[in-house]
Amino acid sequence: MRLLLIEDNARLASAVVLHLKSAGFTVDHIGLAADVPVALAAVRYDVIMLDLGLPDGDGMRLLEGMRSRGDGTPILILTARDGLEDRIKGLNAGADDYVLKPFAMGEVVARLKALLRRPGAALGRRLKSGNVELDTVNQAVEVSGRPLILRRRELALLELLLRRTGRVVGKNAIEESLYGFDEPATANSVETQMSRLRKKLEAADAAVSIHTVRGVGYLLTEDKPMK
Amino acid sequence: MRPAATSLQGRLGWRLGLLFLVVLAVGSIILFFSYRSDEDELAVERLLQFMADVTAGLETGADGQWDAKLPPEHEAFDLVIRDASGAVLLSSPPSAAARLGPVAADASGDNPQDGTGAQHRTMLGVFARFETAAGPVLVHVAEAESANPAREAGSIALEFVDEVVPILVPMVIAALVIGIFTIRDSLGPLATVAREAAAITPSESHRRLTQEGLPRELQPLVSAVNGALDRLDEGFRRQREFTADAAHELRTPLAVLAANLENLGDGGAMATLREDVARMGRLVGQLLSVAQLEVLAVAPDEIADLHALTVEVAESLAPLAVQQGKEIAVIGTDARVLVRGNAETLRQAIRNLAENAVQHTTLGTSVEIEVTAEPAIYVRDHGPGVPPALRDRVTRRFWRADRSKGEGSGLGLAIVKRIADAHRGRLEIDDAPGGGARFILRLPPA
Repeated sequence: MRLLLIEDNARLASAVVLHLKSAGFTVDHIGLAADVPVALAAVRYDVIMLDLGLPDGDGMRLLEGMRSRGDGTPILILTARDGLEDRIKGLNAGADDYVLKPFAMGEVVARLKALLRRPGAALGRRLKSGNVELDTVNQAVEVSGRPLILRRRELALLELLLRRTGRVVGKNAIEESLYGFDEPATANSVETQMSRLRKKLEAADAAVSIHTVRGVGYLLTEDKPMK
Repeated sequence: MRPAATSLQGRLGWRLGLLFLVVLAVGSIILFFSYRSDEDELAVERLLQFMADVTAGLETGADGQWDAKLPPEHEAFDLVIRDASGAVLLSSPPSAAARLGPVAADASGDNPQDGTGAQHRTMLGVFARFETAAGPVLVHVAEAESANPAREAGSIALEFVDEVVPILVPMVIAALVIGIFTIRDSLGPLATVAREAAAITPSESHRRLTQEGLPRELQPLVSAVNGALDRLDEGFRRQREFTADAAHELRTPLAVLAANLENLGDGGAMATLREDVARMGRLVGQLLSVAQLEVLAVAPDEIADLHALTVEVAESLAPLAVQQGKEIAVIGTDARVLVRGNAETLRQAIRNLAENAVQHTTLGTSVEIEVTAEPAIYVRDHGPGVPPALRDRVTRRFWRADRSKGEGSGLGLAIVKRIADAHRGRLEIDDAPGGGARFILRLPPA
């Protein structure tokens, strides 16, 4: 996956680049907003990390410029300001997510992957967590390479959870995507689907866990490998 | 100088009362002395008048009946009438003849003459020689022994007091009433100013005192106080900006440090170092929050949904809780709970409470957040709880249960309290039923 990092602080950039490379990304680094259009014209990036506090040009303007040209590349903003304004402005201008400095690299990688797992993004076709792999085109699931047979709704559920691995998927989002207007979700139908999915994953020795966050939603995490 | 605590009203009353007494005393004294200096002339006039009255009687009663025609005021005078040989023809009172000795027969005129009384008192007297049918007589008139000129002057002064007091007292009272009314009326707006001044706090440092309606004499004071507040406000603002700027500036170097630490691989003290850096990052964020919250003013039309905010917070904290082997749950109503408030800061308050609970709840237990229609948010954990003695202290800035552990910044709950205060809400701490701590954030309904 090709990533463009737009960050003016050279020390921060080199540390981030080093870490992202070890996480499997191909990273280009640019320190000046002025150089960005050239890079964007030359390479098609899968994801972009953008520091909003660039010295020579507003990171926000860069963001707005890309979106107004119809460039839909997923963008993660880095910001040192956690005021409501910066965050909302950034998201309104078309950013997909943000992280606040100082950030944990694990968090950044998780968020980048979540962006890449979106439908249409680089990792959006084959969703992978632990030893579980879901092919969104063929609607097929494999655990450690062996096929796992799931019903339609269980599959949809797993796809939602895999796209947001490590993050909570809200109850409402699940109900909306699993059920149409003509077949409203009953109070415990999502729970029923979820417990069936859990059992099947467990039976297949899947290295992922689905946690219930009561009153909120569900969370799929990769199990830590046994040492 | 009078004591500082004396009121203007008291001072005015005190001074007007003094003025009243001084006017009374000075008036009486002046009257007393002026009457006294005129006394001799007056006395001579009175003597001559009496003499005329007596001699008028002599003329009409020229038959030797001396004692029959004394004028009514004779008691105030000594009167002695002698014949040419010096024999006393009449003495009124009878003792008068002894006090007023015989006078030379050829003496005449109205010269005052010293009496020779045993009391050695200076007395005024006049004598005159009259021709009557019974021959010439000498009439000798003097002030009676009982007449006291000093007492007379004193009585005139007393009379003055009697006459003047009924006028002066109401005037002084009227002056007092007008004075006190004027003071109250003019200083009334000061009560408003005092209320305004009481509302000025470090977080409300933009407020100023109104000068409208104040007497001109007080305006320089109030405008000087306002000027002083301007300068203080500016100082506060710079201080806040500095804190915010410092927090911002610390973020990037901390991010560099954190990223470099993560590249060093695991093992050794690495996990601890990463935790320390993460903690420093949180502290910096909270310092910034504290600086921003100092000026937080909730706009009256801001509405927030407590339930939606709580779900958001739980969503973002759940991965961390799960990673630590703990759980987080939102229980109670699924309906919207609207409050008058700022969504961003309320989210922060809920987040701080939830983070605190996740930190303190025992491994394998759950943090439960309940949103009620009161409206209130109950955040309970299954940890050791907060001892009653510490409940007031945990919301103070930089207070931590155990400094040696180095956990937390000591700002989280102080921030929650500040946000609650800014919303006219309340943060309560008690024991959860069945153990653990329960933090209750109460807010005014929308």
